[in-house]
Amino acid sequence: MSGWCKQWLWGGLLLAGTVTALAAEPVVVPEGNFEHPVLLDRERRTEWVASFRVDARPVNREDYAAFVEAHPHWRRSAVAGLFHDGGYLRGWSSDVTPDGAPEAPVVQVSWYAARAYCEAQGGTLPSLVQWEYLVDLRRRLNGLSDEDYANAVFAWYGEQRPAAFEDRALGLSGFIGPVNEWLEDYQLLLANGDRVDFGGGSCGDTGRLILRYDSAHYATLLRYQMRSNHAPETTASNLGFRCVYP
Amino acid sequence: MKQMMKMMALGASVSALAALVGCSQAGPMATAGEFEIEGKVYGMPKAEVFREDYRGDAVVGDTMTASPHLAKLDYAGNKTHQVRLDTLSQKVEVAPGVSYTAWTFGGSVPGPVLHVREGDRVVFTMKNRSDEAVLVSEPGKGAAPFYRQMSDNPYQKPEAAISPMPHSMDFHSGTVAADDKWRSISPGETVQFEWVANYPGVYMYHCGTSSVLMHTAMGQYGAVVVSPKEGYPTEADHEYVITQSEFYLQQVGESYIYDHQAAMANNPSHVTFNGHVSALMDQPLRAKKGDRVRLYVLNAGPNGTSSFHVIGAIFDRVWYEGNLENEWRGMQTVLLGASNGAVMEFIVPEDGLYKLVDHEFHDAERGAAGALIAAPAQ
Repeated sequence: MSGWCKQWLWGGLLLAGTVTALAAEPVVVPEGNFEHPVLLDRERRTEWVASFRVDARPVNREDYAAFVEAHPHWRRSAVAGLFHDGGYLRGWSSDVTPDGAPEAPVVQVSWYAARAYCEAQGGTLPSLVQWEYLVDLRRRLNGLSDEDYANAVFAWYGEQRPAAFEDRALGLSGFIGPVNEWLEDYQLLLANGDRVDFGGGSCGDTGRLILRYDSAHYATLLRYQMRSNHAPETTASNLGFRCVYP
Repeated sequence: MKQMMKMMALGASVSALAALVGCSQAGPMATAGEFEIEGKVYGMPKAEVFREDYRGDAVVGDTMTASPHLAKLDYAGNKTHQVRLDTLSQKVEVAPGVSYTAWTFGGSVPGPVLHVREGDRVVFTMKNRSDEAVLVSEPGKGAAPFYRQMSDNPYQKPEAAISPMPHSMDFHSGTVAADDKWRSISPGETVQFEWVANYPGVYMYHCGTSSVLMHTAMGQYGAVVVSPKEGYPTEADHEYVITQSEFYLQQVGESYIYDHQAAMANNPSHVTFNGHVSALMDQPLRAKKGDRVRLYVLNAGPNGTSSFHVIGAIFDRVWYEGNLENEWRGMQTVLLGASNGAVMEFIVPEDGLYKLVDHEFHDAERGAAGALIAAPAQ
C-alpha cells in the first residue's frame, strides 16, 4: 500500500470512525540482521531475521470489539478467570462496547487474550526479536539518531508525549507510545519467574546486561525490564499488542 | 540462649510480641512465621497483589506529612499503622521554570515523610495509579495532613499527569525479603505488605523497579523517620526533616525530561533540599537563640554524596543513621553517601541567619542550600 493511500485510510478511520473493524493491511518487513541490545545468556548475539508481515498499528478497540463479538468466550463476562488478573477490558461499558476512542489501541488485555486475537486473524504475537528488530530497523531507515531515539523513549515514559518522529520508511505507528505491546516470548530474559539470573526482575542490577552503557541502550533496556514485570494474566492500561503474519 | 534464633510458634510469638511492644492500643498482631531476635521481629507474612476500585486519597496515614516539619507521635508505646501511599505521576517544579513529569509517591518529590516509633508495625498499601490523573493539592474531607500542607505550600506547583509504568516500594526501614515485598506492580494493581520498624533512624524509601536509577531520578523516594523507642537523650525545640536529592533534567523542546547521560555521569542539573532549589529558602526553618534544633537528614541520591553542613553551627550531637548507639559529638560536617541518613542536633548560638549547605559546593551551586532563621519569638 502506498503512503498516500495509507494516509487516506487513516484519515478515513479517524474522521469517520464508522469503518467497521477494517484492519490496515499488514506491512511487509524486509529480512535483516538484528544485534541483540540486551545480552541473552551473557553472549553477544547477532541473528538473521526472516521477512514477515506486521500490523501497521496496534490492534484498536474497534478491532477487538469485533473479535469478542465473534468469539463470545473472550467477552469480559465469559472469559475464564485463569486468563486474566481481574482487570480484563475493565473500562468497557458492556461486553462489546469499548471505552475511549474506537481507533485507540486496545488495552487491559492479557497475553492469553492477545494471543487468541492474533490466532483468530491467522497470525501470532510478534517474537521479542521481531518486535525489537522493527524498532531498530525503523531507527535506521528513518535516520533517527541514538540521542533522538533515547529522548523519544524517555519523553514517552515521562510525559506520554507521542514519539517525535514519524516512520516514513515503513509506515508503522506505535512502538514508542502510545502503549507497550505484548510479545510472544516477552519474559525470556529478565523475569524473576525463570530465575535466569538472580539479578533479574528488580532493582538497578540489570544494567550489566546491555551491550553498551549509552542512553539508547538504556532506553531499550527499560522496555525489557518493563516486560519482565508482567505475568501472562496481567491486564494493564498501558499494554496492548499487534500481530505478525508469515 | 543469648539469641532467640529459633522460629517461634504462633502462640509464643504473640506473647513475645506483646512483651516486646508493651502496647495498650491497636498493638502489632503477630502472624505465623514471625520470630524474634534481640527484640526485633522478622518473618513477615507474604505480600499480596490485588485489584481494587480505589479512587480516594493517595496518601492515608496519621503520621505522614510533607517535609520539613516532622509529624509528632501522639501515642504511647507501639502502634500498628495503616499506611497508604499510592504511586502516581505528577508534574512538579524543581526550579523556577523547570518542571517535569515526575514519578512520585503521593504526588510530591520527595514523597511524604512517614514517622513511626521503633517497634511499630506498618501495614502498607500501595496502588499503582500512574495511569490515572490524580491531583494531590486539593485536600478532601478527612485527608491526611499531608494534603493540607501540599495545598498550603504548593511550591512544586503540582499538576496531575499520566505516565503508566510498573512501580514498587522499597522501604529501607523494613527488614524483609525484597523479592516478595518490594515486588513491582503494573498500573491498576495494588500491593500490600507489612514490616516492623526494627531499628531507629532516618531511612530512605524508593521505587526499586528496574531501572532503579531512572525510577529514583524521576522522583520516587522519600524518608521514613523511626524514633527510638526510649526517645533521644536530649530535648529538641524543633525537629525538621531534610531530604537531599539530585535531578537529571534536560530541556527538549519546551519540556524537561530525564537525561540518562547526565545521570550516568553523576552530573545533575539540580540538587535540592526537599525537592526544590528554593524549598528551604522560600520557607526557611525557624528557631530562637539557644534552641536545640534537631535535623533528620536523608541523602536520597540517587548517585551523589552530601557533605551536610550548617554555616555558623557545630553539630552538638550526631546519631549516624539515627541510631543512638552511633553517637558523634562536635561534628562540623556530616558525610552522607547515597541513601545514608543521620540525626543532627545543634544549639542556635545567637539570632541570625544560618545557611544549610551541601559543602560539596558544586552541589550547593546547583541548589543544595537552605536557610534557618533565628529570631526572637514574635
